[in-house]
Amino acid sequence: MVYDLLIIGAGLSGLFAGCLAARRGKQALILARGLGGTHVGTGTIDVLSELTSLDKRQTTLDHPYGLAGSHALLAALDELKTICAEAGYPLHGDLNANFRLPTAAGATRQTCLAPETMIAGDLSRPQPFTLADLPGFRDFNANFAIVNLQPSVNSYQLSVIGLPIPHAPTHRDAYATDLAHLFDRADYREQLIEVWRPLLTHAPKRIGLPAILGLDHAVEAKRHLDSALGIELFEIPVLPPSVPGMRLFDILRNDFQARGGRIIIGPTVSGRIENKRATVTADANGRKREYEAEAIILATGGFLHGGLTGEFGGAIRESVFNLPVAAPSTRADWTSEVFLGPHPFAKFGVQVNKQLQPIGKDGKPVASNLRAVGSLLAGADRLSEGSRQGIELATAYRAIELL
Amino acid sequence: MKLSTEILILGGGATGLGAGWDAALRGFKTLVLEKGDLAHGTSGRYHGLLHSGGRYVIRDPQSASECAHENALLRKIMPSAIEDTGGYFAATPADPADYADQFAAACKTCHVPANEIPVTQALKREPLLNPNLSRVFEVQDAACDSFDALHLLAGAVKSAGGEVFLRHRVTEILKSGDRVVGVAGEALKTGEPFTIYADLILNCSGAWAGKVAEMAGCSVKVTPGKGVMIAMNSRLVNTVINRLKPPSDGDILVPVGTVSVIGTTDTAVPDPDKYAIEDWEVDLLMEEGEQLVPGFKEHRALRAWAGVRPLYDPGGADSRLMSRAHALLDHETRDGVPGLLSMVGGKFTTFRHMAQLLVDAACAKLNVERKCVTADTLIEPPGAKLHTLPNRLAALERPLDDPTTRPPDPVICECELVTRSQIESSLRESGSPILNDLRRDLRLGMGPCQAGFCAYRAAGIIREYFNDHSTTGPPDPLTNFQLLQFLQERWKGERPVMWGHSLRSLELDLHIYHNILGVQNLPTEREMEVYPTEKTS
Ligand SMILES: Cc1cc2nc3c(=O)[nH]c(=O)nc-3n(C[C@H](O)[C@H](O)[C@H](O)COP(=O)(O)OP(=O)(O)OC[C@H]3O[C@@H](n4cnc5c(N)ncnc54)[C@H](O)[C@@H]3O)c2cc1C
Repeated sequence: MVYDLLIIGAGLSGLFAGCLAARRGKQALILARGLGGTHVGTGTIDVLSELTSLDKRQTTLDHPYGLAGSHALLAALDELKTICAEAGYPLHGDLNANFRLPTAAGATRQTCLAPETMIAGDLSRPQPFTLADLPGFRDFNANFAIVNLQPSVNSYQLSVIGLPIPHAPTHRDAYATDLAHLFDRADYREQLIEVWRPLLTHAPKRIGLPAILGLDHAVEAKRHLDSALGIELFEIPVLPPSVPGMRLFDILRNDFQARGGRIIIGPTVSGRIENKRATVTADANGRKREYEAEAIILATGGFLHGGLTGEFGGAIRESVFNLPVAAPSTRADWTSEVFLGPHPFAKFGVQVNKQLQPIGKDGKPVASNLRAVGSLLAGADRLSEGSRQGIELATAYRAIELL
Repeated sequence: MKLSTEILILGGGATGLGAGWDAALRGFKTLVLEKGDLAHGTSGRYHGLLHSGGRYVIRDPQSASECAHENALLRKIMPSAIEDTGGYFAATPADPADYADQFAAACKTCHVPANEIPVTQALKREPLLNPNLSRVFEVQDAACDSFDALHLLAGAVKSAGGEVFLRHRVTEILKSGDRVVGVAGEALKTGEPFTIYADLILNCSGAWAGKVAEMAGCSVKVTPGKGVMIAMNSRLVNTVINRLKPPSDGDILVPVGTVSVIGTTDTAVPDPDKYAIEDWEVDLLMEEGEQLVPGFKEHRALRAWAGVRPLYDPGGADSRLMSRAHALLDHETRDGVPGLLSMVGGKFTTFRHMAQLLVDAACAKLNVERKCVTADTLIEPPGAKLHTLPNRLAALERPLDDPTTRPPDPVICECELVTRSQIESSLRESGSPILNDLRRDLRLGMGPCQAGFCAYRAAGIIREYFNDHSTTGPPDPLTNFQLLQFLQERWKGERPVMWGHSLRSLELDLHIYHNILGVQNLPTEREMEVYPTEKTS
């Protein structure tokens, strides 16, 4: 099998690039060692906390937004919304304004696109709400969040309500995914409605709960509970594993596969560049296989997902092709003394040209058939900017456009 | 607050608590004052090795014999803080060949049990060790968890009738004429001043002993010797491994709990409260680790920290050459200041012995004759168990056949198996909303994820505990601050080892706290820092 396109990495940018390619009739293969950022994220699409400064980012070529171009971001968001809507999981929002959503610690976070299951939590809305305290669930503390949230909504009083989750595992602690599997079942929700109904008689109609509303049928679950109980539920992202992130992963993977895309997760991928042409080898527990493709997209992410590694001796490496990464050789210069940053390492990454081709020290592309996208790219502190998913989508879009 | 007591002890490390325990057992009205939390000083940041004595046989034979003696004794009186790992002195190709014979002879003279064993036998027990070792001696080293040991000791002081006041900082020593009669200071929790009068004051403030003695107008030169250690994310060895060479940097690897700790370095620092961990120190320890365990640098380093040795300097010299032995200073004969004794220098391993000498001297000063009984008294309460994961797991396991009767007790820190009810009872006992105190009490946040998951969960529990589930009212800058401060404190120890997996883990933690939880946007009030933390890691 000869593929038109080989994508390395199954995070948001790799999967999205795969979907776009498949939707344009290309034969694509995604190779990844493991899962990407979707499983540890919030399941929202952050473009920039200060959306108003987007123009500035998009005019500088040091920044991935500048390399992708403004049209790419816009088109990427549109196409992602189409894919999700077709899967019955609409994403809301646009580049005009961010949602202001509550976090599980009671802070506010700005995000551009959010799933239907979350948007009723927008703190700009004037109705009072209550947060659900699920007894025994460690990863969401309503009492902690609520006191911190109160000042951001000073026009009304917030509260906490205890809502039991029948049939949650008792032989071990429940993770968000355990509870999500329960919410996926209509018969379970019927039971839940009976348990919750009497508890909700005096509660505000807007109710926030941890992001556990189902993996495969989240929107259905929300609509079911909302209408049966006369309430408006909204989800708040919690500690990993991220249920809303897994939904995005599933939607993109399904869309990709339904259009003939192939995805292999598990092997370690290493690359080689000879005569300006990149090829890769996938090593699955010692069974090696070489792949060639007309085009290769490197979407292996930053440090967390292994796209970049920082070594004891002071070198930063790109892990598949050993592409050059400019970084200081003193470890102390990689991080800040302040835990929450900003940290210099956040901007380390692979340098690319306007074609998104990784470039060598001479400024020339290292291989003619290789492009890099997503969190691997140098030049943006995604955390401080609140730009992670926006960059992943826009650069993936641009890379496919350039094929 | 005004109080009086017979014996007042300044400093709640191993030496001070040991002295408090000994004095209380001898029937003195006893009070121990500590400016921080338990294990706040050097005793909470040492290497964790209950010395066999082997390390000192050549340079400091007296310390060697004392260690050997106390090591055997402590195993009997506080077994639940000690893991009998045993120890090796092992000669790597980088070590001087002639040292082994000197070592063997000196062990005999100092009565430090040491048996030469075949290298193959050592490698069978510790397969990761350098296969090119030339000689190996087996000694009686053990690992001693300082948090466990100090909590046991503080409990023992109390059950013997003494008292321990934490977060009470002494700022002044009160005199009547030349005689020391009491101290004044501040209770850091409430900001309230206190004055305490005593018949006799024992200065057990370790690396701070010089500062404390100065308050009484006495000059004691204690050179704080900074030592850096690195915790590796797994037990690379199950036996304490010492390099068979003269003491130097990075020559000991100690298995402690779920990790193994390589250490240490030794640099004199001007102030025991101000020091940083330098990259070169970390590099050096990692390189030395490589000599003992080939591939050491590929393993994940979890965190680095430093402690300051209380090295007593009778005058001049480089601090490594300064004696690690202890010195009892009688300020009456030495400086003409009655009412004050100081114990300086020494080791964790010999704390009981130092306490005994000190309280013997106190008895003489107070003109009473009371025998020391600590050598024959069990320190721990019945049922106390060494904090190992198997023991914690056993405590967690409940009959699963009847899930309805099983009280839900969520595991909050999965790395160290700390449950919600343990956190609540620690909060009840200490009354302290400080996450770092929970860490020292329960080991919360000490495992591989370095508090990535548990800090949020535990902060929520603190919030609920101290605010009685009230959901209205003003935001809670104190709990927010505790959370942020705890993350920052953990970060200080992680930052020196930020490469490889630690860097990945940092990105995950930032994902959680910056992105998912947005804690950088929470209201906190820096002024809320009522309990200063003065340590660097
Ligand atoms: C890096 C390193 C590794 C070591 N490894 C080992 C080892 O493996 N084995 C071993 O046996 N020994 C070891 N030691 C030595 C051992 O840790 C110390 O000798 C021992 O812990 C000292 O105990 P201490 O009670 O005298 O001092 P500390 O534990 O420091 O106690 C003194 C206390 O006094 C308090 N204090 C200070 N000023 C005031 C004030 N004004 N008011 C109230 N309280 C005050 C401090 O907060 C502190 O808690 C090591 C030391 C270092 C630095």
